[in-house]
Parts: sequence; structure tokens; C-alpha cells
Amino acid sequence: MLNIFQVAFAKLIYKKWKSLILVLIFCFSLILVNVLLIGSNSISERGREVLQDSFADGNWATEDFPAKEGQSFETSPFPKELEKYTKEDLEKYGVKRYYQQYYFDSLYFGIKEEPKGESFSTANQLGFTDTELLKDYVADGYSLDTDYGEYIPVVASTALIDQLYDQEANSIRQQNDTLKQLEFVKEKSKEIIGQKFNLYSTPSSDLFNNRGGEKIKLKPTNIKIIVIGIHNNKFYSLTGNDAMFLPLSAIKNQNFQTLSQTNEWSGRLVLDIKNNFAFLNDTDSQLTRNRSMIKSPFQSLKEIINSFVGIGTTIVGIVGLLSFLIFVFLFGKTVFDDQQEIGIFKAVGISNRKIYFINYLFGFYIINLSFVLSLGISYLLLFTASNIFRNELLFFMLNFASSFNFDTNKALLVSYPLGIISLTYLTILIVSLLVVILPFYRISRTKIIKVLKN
Amino acid sequence: MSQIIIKNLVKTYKLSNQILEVLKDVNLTITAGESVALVGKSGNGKSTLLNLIAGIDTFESGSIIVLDKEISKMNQSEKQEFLNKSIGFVFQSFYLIPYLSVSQNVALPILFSSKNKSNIDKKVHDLLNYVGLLDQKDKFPNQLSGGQIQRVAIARSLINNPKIIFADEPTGNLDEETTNQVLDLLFRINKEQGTTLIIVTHDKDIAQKCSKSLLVQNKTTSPFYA
Repeated sequence: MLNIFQVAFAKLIYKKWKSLILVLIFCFSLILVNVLLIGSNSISERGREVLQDSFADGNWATEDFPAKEGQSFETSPFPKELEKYTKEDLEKYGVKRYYQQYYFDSLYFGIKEEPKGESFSTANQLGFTDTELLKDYVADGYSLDTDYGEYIPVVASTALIDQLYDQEANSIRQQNDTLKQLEFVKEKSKEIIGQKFNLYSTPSSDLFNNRGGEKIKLKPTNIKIIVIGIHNNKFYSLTGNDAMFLPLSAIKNQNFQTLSQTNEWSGRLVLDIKNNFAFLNDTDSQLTRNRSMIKSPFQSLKEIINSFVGIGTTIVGIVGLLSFLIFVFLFGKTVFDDQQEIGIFKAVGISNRKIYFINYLFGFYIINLSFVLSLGISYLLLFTASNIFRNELLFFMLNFASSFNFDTNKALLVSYPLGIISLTYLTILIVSLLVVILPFYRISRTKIIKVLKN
Repeated sequence: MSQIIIKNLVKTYKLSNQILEVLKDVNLTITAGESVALVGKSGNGKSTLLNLIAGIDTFESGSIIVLDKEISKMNQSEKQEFLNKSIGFVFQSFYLIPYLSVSQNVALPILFSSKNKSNIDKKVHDLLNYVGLLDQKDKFPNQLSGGQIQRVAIARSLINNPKIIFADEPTGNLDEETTNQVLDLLFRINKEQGTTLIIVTHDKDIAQKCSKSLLVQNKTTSPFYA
């Protein structure tokens, strides 16, 4: 007819339905706000506008992002460290039109050549991973000499460079008097060769085996790389969904077909300007002596994104914890005024053990409900903030997975090395102990006679 | 056959520094199937005596034997089992669980007891039928009138086939018509099922309906002739 679980659940619903409805209305309102925000703005269009504004803000411009009327590039200051380069030097390395607008502190490598859209549908890119992709491609018998195959190593190289930079490149080799070729070796199992203007890949040892040990040389891809600047305020270049993902993910998942239409998509290969110009100008020894120069091209972006993710996740984590505690208090405050009910249970002869179990379950439901609701509200608040901000400044995506695990430690670590690490677990521990201990306390303190006298 | 035997019962309360003696040298015997009214003025100790007999309250000296068991020698779990299986309690304030339906409230004592639960639905059905509330079985207490709630409470007290029913001013919060309905029900149970009924009341008319009335006065009991 009825079991203890159902009794505890019935108690929860009966006592807390008003609070539940209020919370659900609040959640629904947040969802509605987000729907309205999303519906009223074309994110990509708005992002593009912001991007264009920043690009054309007197710092640099491109064909796609022309300068606004009245802006003069020549007025932009030229960094002192670049003064030793002539215009021709810079143009030789791909800095063609924009060198005089070096307002930036990072360089931006982009794949200038437009990939063929039909060859790079999203479906073909999903699941893309460096050598794995090549391996499957070769194993399937496709030729890398086809138009389609031609671009596979391009993307593979880009992604692998990303990965290599993200890890640690073993060497950078300069050939001839100009920088023609960069070679990155990673754990001997993967080998990627990229030229400054021509990126191409050679397959890993796995692929050799697939062809009886015969080395397959991939066709040079003739991808043109241009050097373009990133605005000092890098956030402006991180609008829209682009900023949601780290660059590798962007490479993997971006819709090339769409992006190629803009003709200005970049592989997000960002190098620190000093390292770049060391590449461009200095000697081999200078390049190799200091491996710290091999800085992740995404380092700057990652630092920026991480700092936002860290701050944002911290805020969300704290909001989550606070709302969790508020919910526990809201839902669980009857824990302190439920003596009568225990008295009734006792008066009809229900054992203390079972009364305890009912109350424990009630507390357990409350904790779980509070946890889910606080997560939902935290995320909804975050999502709302993201939606609002990305229409104006930037879009940042916080690690919801961390919040979901109620593990704000990672975020807290970003902002405060040790500070509030214990907060999360301490809170959970205390609340859990309350759920376990409080029913004991209540039941032991409740005497039937006191209830009957009331 | 004596079901309840009380000898030299003494009950005191501590009020700050003062010790208040409520019952002193109470001696009485109640046999099976009797209906006993405990009457007296407020504060004389009627409810206290009832609670002591039911094992809900504790006393200082003397002895209370109910159904051959010495109440003072029972531990907490034995008392709760005793309350569950042998005693039915009807309170003035009803004390139903508000978030359980009528039928669930009635079933509550048996749901969590060690008794066989196989016929629980039938028992609840029969009891609700007996108290005339079968059509209200899915309602919640806040959807019922005072008289209906009290009848649910009576049904709940009967679910484990108790040998004794304690009723502490069961009609104290009810109007006259509802009072009569509830009393009729209690006395019907007493007569038809042979359940001993001990009822605390101010009402002499109720006392008249009982087979025995005891006046609780001057810290002790004495026969009361309405």
C-alpha cells in the first residue's frame, strides 16, 4: 500500500509544494529570458559586427573587415621592437598589408586559402583527430591526391600543430636563410611537417604498417598562411560561438563550409609576437636554445579564456553553493519544527528506527532536490549572463561539467590557489551530517507526552 | 478477567523548584470489555492517568499492569510495540498525518509493524466502511470535517485489533451532532468487538453511557455516579 520511501516523498511534496512551484517559476522565467535573448539576436551577425568594429578600429583592417571611414592606419604607432623590420621583410613573411598597424601583442595565423566547402562539410569533420583521421582515410583506400584528400592533411596539420603546441614541441628547425619549414615531432609516433606557406603531413608509423611499411608522403597542400594581427583587446575577437571552444575544438567542429564563405576564417594559430618575430628573423641557434620560445600558439587565447572560465566558474560555483544552502534551508527548515509528527508516529507505535528512516529519506530527498535545483539555477544564470554578454562583449562558456559535479575546486584553483577548496566538500559534509544526525536528535528528543500536551 | 491493575500509583511533576504531586495512591482495576469514563475537573489528572496506563508517560512509584505486562518495566521499543499492537489511542486533536490520505492514515500503524500486511487493504476497507467513511478513503485530512477526521482516527486506532482503546476527550473539539456520531461509534466498537474503552471526559452524559465511571479528584480516583 505504502512504503517508507513513499511516505517520505509524500511528506516532501505536501510540505514543500509552494517552494517547489516558486523555484520552478523562477527557472521558467530564466529560460524564457534566454529564449527571448536568443530569439531577438542573431549571434553570429552580432559577433561579426563586433569583430568588424574592432578590426576596423584604426588598428588594422582586411578586405572583409575594412577600415571605417576616416580611420588612418598610418597613424597607428609602430612597435619599437618591429622597427628593425622593413616593410619588405614583413611582407616576405606574409605580413603584406597590415604591418603598419601593429597594435597587437599577438599574431594570428590564418588559413588564407579557402577550402572547398563541399569537401568540408561538418559531417566530415566531426570526429576528426589527427593521425586517426589519416589512418582511416588511407585504410579506406581514398587517395590523398584528390581534391578532397588534398585538404585532409591541411586540417590534420593544423590540428596537430595545435596539439603539439599544446603539449610540447621537441624541436624547431630552420632551413635555409628564411623560415621555410617547421618540424614538430611528438613522441616519435606522430610527425608533422609544416611549412610556412605550405603545410603538409606525413603519416604516423601506424600508417606505414597499413601499407606494408611503405611510407606514404602526403601531397603538399599549398595552404597559404598570412599573418594578421589580433587587436589588443583580444576579447573582441572572441565573439560568438568561436569563443566557446578552445581552438582545437574549433578546428575539429567548426563548419568549414560556412567559415570558408567568409574567406577569413583562421585556424586560430596564435603565436606570441616575440616568438613569431624570432621565427621570422633570428638564427637557428636562437630559435632552438630556448624552448620556451615554443609557446603554444593558443597560449594567449587559452589564458584569456581560462581566466574567464575560472572567474565565471568560481562565481557559478559560489552561486551554486549558496543557492544549495538556501534550498536546503527552505526545504529542510521543517526539520526543526516537526516534533509533533514524530510524536504521532510514536503514539501509533511506529518504531524509532522506522521514524528515523522516514526522516532521513525526507532529508535525503531535500538534499538531492536542492542540489539539482541549485545546479539548474546556476546554469541558467550562467547561460543568461552568457547570452547577454555575447551580444555586447564576448561569449564565455563555463565548464558546466565541473558545476554538475559540484566540483568548484578547479575553478577556485584558478582564482585562488588554495583558498576555498575545502568550501565545497565542507558544505556537503556538514549538510550530509545534518541529514544523518538531525533525525536522530529529533527522535530522541521527542516524547509523545509532550506532543499530546500541545 | 482484569486487564488493567493499578496499585499505589504516584505521579509528580517538577515545576521549576517545586514538585507537584498529581496522583497519589491510585488503585483501580478494569476488566476486559468494560467501558470506563475518567471524569473530573481540568487539571485533576484524568489525562495523566490515561497516559500512564497507556505507557506514554512515566510515574514515580506504584505499579501499572496492562494485559499482564508491567508498564514500568518496559523499555522504549517494547512500549512502542505495545502501543502498536495492543493499544488504540484516540486523541482530542485527532493527530492524523496531513500528507497521507484517509486510507493511508488508517493503515499507518500496521504499515510499519511486523504484522502480516497481506490483508491490509481489506482491513482498511472494512474499517472505513465500519466508521462510514469508505467514500472518503482517498481524501486528505484537510478535506474532511472534524467529525470525519475523528472517525478516521478511531479507524486508525482499530487497525491492529487492539484490546484496549484509550480516548482522551475524543469529542472535545466537536459539535454536538458530531460528538454523538463519534461516541456512538466508540461504544459500538466496545460492545460489538468487546474492546475495552477508557475515555477521558468532562461530560456527565458520556460518563452515563459507560459501564463504569471514575472521578479523578484530590489526586486519586473514586467511583463516580452520574
